[in-house]
Amino acid sequence: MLSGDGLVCNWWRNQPRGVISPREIQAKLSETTLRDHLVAYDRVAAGTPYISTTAGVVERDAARARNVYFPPLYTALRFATENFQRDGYVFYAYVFGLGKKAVDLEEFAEELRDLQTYTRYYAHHPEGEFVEKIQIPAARIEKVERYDLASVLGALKQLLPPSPNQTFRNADVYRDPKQYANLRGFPEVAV
Amino acid sequence: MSRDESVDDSGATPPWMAEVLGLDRDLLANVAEHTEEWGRSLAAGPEDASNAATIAEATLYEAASLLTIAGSYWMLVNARRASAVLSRAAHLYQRLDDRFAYAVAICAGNTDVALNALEEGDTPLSPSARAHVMLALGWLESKAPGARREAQAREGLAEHARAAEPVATEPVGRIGLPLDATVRVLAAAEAAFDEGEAEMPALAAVLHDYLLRLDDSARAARADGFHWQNLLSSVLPAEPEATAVGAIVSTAAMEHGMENDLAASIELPSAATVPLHMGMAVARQSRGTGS
Repeated sequence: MLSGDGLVCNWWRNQPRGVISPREIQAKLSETTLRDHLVAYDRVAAGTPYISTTAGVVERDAARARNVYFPPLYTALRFATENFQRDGYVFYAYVFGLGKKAVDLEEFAEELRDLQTYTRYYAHHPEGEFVEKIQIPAARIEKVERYDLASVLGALKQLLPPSPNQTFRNADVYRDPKQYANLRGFPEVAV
Repeated sequence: MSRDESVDDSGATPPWMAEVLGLDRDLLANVAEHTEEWGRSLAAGPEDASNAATIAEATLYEAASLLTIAGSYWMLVNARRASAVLSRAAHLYQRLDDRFAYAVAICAGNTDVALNALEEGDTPLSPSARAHVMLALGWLESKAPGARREAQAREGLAEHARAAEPVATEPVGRIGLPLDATVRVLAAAEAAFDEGEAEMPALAAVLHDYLLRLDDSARAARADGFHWQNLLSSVLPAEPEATAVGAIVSTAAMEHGMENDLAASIELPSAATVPLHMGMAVARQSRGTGS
């Protein structure tokens, strides 16, 4: 997964021959399938072309002119451990978003936490969700952390934040996004 | 419909509330417990003044948020546990100068935090903040220790109601109901508190409207079975603002021994009435304790 296919969507993974075509992808990506992924996942899980991710949430507290940041680990770990009931893996990866709705464009993730673009969906998905399409390539996966349920619960019992039991770094394949950034005036992202 | 409203000695909440919402109580308890621990781990030591300054504001916000989520889940499992967690969350929000503290504090049956609303005066407020201040004042009308504070709350509520008129249609709070929906319920609760039976039909009517509109959002969230049943929906099963409204109207009705009549007069599906019954549990728990 880390060095080869990366993370692939359920639709692709469940193909008997493991093959999907560009034409099929084009047909799969639509407002309807995205909506179903978001609000009817239990019905479409096996055939969804999307991959849910969490990026945390920044809420604007306008009255006090401050941003309030909620990191993604709590949400990620609840998904990964199926609500603190089993061992789980948390993937650290990046996706590309346009800042606009672009459902038909496979290359770009949908930023569902965007209040302006996805008001219909956002009401039920504040976990800071980006939805990637078809695949997150291995080159965009920085690392995977394994969390054993027993140690997660043990840490929480002692009022300590959970920490991973094992970290698999993808150093050979991973490509740091900063080396591709061309944002001027932001030296902190230059490598 | 007759419901078992009683919270037993262990604090256990009547199981029908989780059932009508389609939620598993064991899952609720499991996620509540570990979410509470996570929140407490982040807030560890905030009451210790020497440590307080070293905890970043963002961390406290996350802690308050996690404790509120945990408290919402606990409300469907164990009201006593919910009260303790929500009280802690309310104090964290208060430290962060966030008026959501008032709604959370009411759910905890707490008046200490709400008393700060008496000092809000004519502070410029966003519609959401005004709704939260008004909830606190509505709670204090019947819960404030002493006639002077009760009068202060009543006067403050009237002032805020006037200030709310120009923004009456603005969506407020986590669910985004219009500010006017909250203002109307609070006004009707005040009238029912003062006049008793004569005003109870009017309170039932505006409460019905509030719960119906609230359930529009909650029902949409429940229809998304995967997120809802796995407790991953952004709509909490016990939304603090709605539970606070339930607690305030229940307190007003309890003044005349009419809380069961009020609940029976609301003709809505059971799931839509959960905020009222949850609020009633809060009101009953806090009655007589003064806290």
